[in-house]
Amino acid sequence: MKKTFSVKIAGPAGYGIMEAGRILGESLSSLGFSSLVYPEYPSQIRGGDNVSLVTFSQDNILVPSKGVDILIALSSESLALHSNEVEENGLLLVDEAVEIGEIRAIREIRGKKITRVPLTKAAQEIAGNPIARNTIALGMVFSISGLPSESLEEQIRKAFERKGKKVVSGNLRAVKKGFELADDLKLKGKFKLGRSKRGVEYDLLSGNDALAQGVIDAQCGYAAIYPMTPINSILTTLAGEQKKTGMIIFCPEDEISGINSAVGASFAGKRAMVATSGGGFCLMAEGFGMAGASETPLVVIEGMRTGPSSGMATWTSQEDLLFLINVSNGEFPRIILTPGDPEEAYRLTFEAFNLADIYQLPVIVLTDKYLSESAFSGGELKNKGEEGIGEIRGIREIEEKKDWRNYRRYEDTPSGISPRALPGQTVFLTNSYVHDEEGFSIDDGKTRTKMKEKLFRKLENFKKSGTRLYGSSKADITFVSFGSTKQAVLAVMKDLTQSGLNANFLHFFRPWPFPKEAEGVLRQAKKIVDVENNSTGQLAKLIKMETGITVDQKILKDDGRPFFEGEIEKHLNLEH
Amino acid sequence: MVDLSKYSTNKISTWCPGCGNFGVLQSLKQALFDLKIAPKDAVVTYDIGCGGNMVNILRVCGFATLHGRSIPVAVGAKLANPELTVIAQAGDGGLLNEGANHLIHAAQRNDNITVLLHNNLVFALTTGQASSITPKDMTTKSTPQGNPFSPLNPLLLAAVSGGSFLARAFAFDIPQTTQIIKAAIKHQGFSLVEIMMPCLVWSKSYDLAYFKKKVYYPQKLPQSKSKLLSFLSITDKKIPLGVFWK
Repeated sequence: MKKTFSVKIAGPAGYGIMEAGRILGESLSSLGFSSLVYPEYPSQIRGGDNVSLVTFSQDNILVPSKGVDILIALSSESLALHSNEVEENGLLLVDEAVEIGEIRAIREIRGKKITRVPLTKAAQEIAGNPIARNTIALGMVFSISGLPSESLEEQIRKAFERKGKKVVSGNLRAVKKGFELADDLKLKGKFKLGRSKRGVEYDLLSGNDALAQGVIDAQCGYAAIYPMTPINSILTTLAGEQKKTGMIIFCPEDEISGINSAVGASFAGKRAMVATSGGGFCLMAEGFGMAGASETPLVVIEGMRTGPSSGMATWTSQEDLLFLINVSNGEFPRIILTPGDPEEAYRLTFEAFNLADIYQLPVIVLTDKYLSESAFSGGELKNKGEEGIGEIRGIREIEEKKDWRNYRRYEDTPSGISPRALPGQTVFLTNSYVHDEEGFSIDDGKTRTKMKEKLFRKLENFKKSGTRLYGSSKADITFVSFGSTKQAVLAVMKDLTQSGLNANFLHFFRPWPFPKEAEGVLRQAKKIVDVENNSTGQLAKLIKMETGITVDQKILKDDGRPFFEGEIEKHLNLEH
Repeated sequence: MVDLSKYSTNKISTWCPGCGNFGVLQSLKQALFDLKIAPKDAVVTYDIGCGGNMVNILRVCGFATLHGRSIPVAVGAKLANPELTVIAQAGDGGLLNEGANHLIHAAQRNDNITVLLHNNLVFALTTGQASSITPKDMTTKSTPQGNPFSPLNPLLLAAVSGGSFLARAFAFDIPQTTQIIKAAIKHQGFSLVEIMMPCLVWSKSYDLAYFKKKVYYPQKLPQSKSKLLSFLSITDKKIPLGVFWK
């Protein structure tokens, strides 16, 4: 029996393909299948080839599948682009609205069996709107997979509730029609899926959903966000919750204004953040340095996309790690967090606000298009416990301080952390220039040296671990990666273990400050394999820089796509 | 004489003797005093430049920001805590070159902050280069053949962007400048005060005598937006001072 199934819906932008993929993922998750909804789309609003790839299995680890069991093609362009991905026994369903002449002209489909389905026509008849073609297709997928219609119907109700009863009932009829069409074509139950986990209902969350929830639960009071793929849905989620949370949402004239205003808001007492992509963060570099120099807490969510420069706007990459470790002029401490999945994204975003407040410095939460915009089945985001978010820390001290005599904003304390005050509590100076303990701009060498030492002392004793070791401590192969490659590496590790090889995996969820414990693990490793979505192996460089250790093999992918199922194995060199 | 010492630090100014910035400092202290705004409740965000060096000598909750960015830092602080009095200081380079985007958008949004533009016609702290507010044909270190461009007009720019309080002051008239700054702080919404001053070192062709001859307080002020726009557009005659629009 196949372990993993995948369905791809592909067609022009404006056809509601992303929503259809999400509904399918939600329905499968509610049935206890681990699901992954991975979207691909060009930077355009209408036309082109929009794709939602839904991979699902009984397994917990999910990597987007390379092969497709059911392809639903809604245009000749999409058919041409994706027909080669269909598995040997897979189904290639094409909307009848795509002209037969156009289909015949496609070289890629020669010799392949295609099934034409009257999706648009039936949608028009049944729901009075061609867009319901997606829903008919979803009904077909459910019937073909031998799944009950109820969970799909429930997700349809949820998804279309806000559009009114007529839309809901139209789409429910469309589900039924999908089941009928599959019956007519004798496709019902063609694929026997294994049972999903009984009694388990997964939530489906995108990385951005989790990041936004982390921001909200951290009681962030101020978010300045200039739109840029892939972080746009963080802005829309935070804006949608604004009535409940009271968060100030500032849509600035540019990223420079965004980060500077966030520093101003933090200085005045709100937990503050910005979210942007690499290009936007280039504009924020100077403001980021000001947060560092003035010791103003700040959280930055940076969503990487394919670069350099404007790059490929809607595609993924991990090209910004070394940029962020060094960004802005001069030297100052910062923390960089790199979650590998939505649960980690939630927890680390919450933690980012605590770290920013406790250490009074800028903290970056690094995501990418793949993690941000893909939706993953998972458990509920936990408020408590070891894997939970814990308490809000680092701000109560400011509220509790009452005695402001002899107050110095940048007091040179043993920990390097100075007591913080807010405007309205007492008079104090905040300064982006090199300053003395009181905050006055200075240029004498002795004070500069003393204050620089104070600045860096804040993280001198930062002992928190920044990595997690998966698998046993002794292994033949040790994988290293950071951020969103986590699930792909976990999947490979599991496969290798099943085939008798002993592999473990050191995942960096906080590559900066460089986690001290990593060196010990890597010194013991027999063979280190680095996996990254970039061309130069930035984590490998960082490891070399910090420990002197050279990785044995780098598996790098930099075509704008995440690692698909089987791709890491293919490049893995088992010879030493 | 009132005691303004609570607004003073024990630091010594780095400005040139006789600089107009002393007049701005004195007027601002007096305005805060008159309005009974305690130093702990006043936030002043500073641009980089001569005017920004006020950070060490004015005793308020000061924030020395970046070149061109005093407005966005002020906007964030005011949004975060509306109880604060928030003033953004900037020079002509910071406000009209580096930070002009922030100026027009703060005016457009009617952000509830006061912007004090220290206009000395040049980049002074970097030793006298032309800014986008430098008069046409003026010779500076960066325009030895004379400035080829006509200057931007900050009040007109703010007016067309939607600025709800527009005023011009002269740094060497401390009593009037104090009154104008007070009105700007009291205004609910975006207020811009352009404070004229010669740079004693780098704009010798536009010196103190020139300004003293040119400035005046007009009796009649524009009563409609269209009259305001034409009033602000006339730049080749005298330099009118006062609160032109609120």
